Amino acid sequence: MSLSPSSLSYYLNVLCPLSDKLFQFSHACVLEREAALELTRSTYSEIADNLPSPGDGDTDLVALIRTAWKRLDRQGKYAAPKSGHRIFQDVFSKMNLESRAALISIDFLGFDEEQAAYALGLNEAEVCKALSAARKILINGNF
Amino acid sequence: MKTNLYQSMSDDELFFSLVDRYAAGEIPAEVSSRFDALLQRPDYKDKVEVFKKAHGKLQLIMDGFYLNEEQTLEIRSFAQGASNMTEDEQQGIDDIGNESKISGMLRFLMFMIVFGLTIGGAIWKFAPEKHGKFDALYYLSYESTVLENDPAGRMDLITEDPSELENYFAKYPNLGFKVGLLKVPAGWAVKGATVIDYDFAKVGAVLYSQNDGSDQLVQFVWKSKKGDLPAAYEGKEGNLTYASYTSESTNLISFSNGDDTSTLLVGRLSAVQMAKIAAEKR
Repeated sequence: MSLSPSSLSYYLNVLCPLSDKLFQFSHACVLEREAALELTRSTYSEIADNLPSPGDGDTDLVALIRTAWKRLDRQGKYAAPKSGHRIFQDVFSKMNLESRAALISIDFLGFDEEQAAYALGLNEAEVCKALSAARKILINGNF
Repeated sequence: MKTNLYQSMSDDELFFSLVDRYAAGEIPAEVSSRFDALLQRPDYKDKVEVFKKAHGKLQLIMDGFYLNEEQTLEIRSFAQGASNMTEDEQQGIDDIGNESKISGMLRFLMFMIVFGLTIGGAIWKFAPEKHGKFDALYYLSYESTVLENDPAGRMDLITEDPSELENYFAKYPNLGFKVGLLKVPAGWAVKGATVIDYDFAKVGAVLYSQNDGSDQLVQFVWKSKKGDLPAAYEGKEGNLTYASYTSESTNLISFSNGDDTSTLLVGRLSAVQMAKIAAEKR
């Protein structure tokens, strides 16, 4: 893992400051804090080996989320955690994985549908469907 | 292209995927009449306002989850550590080749670096995980608002019987501390309790209310650490020394319970009125 000075600078100054955002995305998807930390770590480890092309700020985060999303086990059973904030127990746990990812990408990270579709490997219609299901639960959720 | 997308959507899909744009006044022209028609229906009528509040809460809550310093450093080290070490090694090899006199010193230095990294790595690996700082004012101000607005949804136990509440806290698994109830004045009663289980702290919460429902008071108790609360103006009521804070709509006072726990009271009473209530139980 030997990076050129410019790549190292990109990793340290652009990608590393986005680590909280990736952790928050991961936490919403996998619900458990420890699993979210692991996903964040492993995504950065992969990114350090294979840097994405530098983007314009927004697209750097999109590339990061896309890498994390590819690492997720889409068939995984992410059960509601026994401790932690109720938003994970009462809101996200009632959504399917695509809905959690679409909601957090658009309503928290600020992606548009096109960016969310690219990051999550879906088309825009699928993103809208996942997002609307998630927002319905969010609105009716008690958190 | 988008028109086709909107046309193929069910009412639910259209409403919930565009509710943010409607709230921002940016509803696409091609669906505005259909969206307006949905808003007339009872099942969608109030949902825009509810969405705005839920969206704000989502932002606030998710911002509360972040990596601690050690975890951030670990992420930096995936590239920085390896790169620096590669450069250090190359530098060492060049120096040894050019100046054989200092080879012994370099070897010693490399040994010390490896030794330091080994010991540091072992400490990092086996040390207990440190969680983020518990910003009690930030978390508990939010929790008090939610508890007051939706007591039935938030509290584990709804009862006006203080002994039931004491029993609830005493039997709560791994709580690790005692929650002493306040002696509230006539006209007030306890309404229920819950335990909020954050990753880094468990917090016992008790809701009190005036019998006519006109005012409420929330008591939080947790195992506190230095730095949970910022320094503030200190007041004295009887033998109670308390710190007081204020927000836009509530007053807050905090005090130590004499063991390793702290109490935070949140309500619309003045700080002095809350301190008088707190001093009563002591």
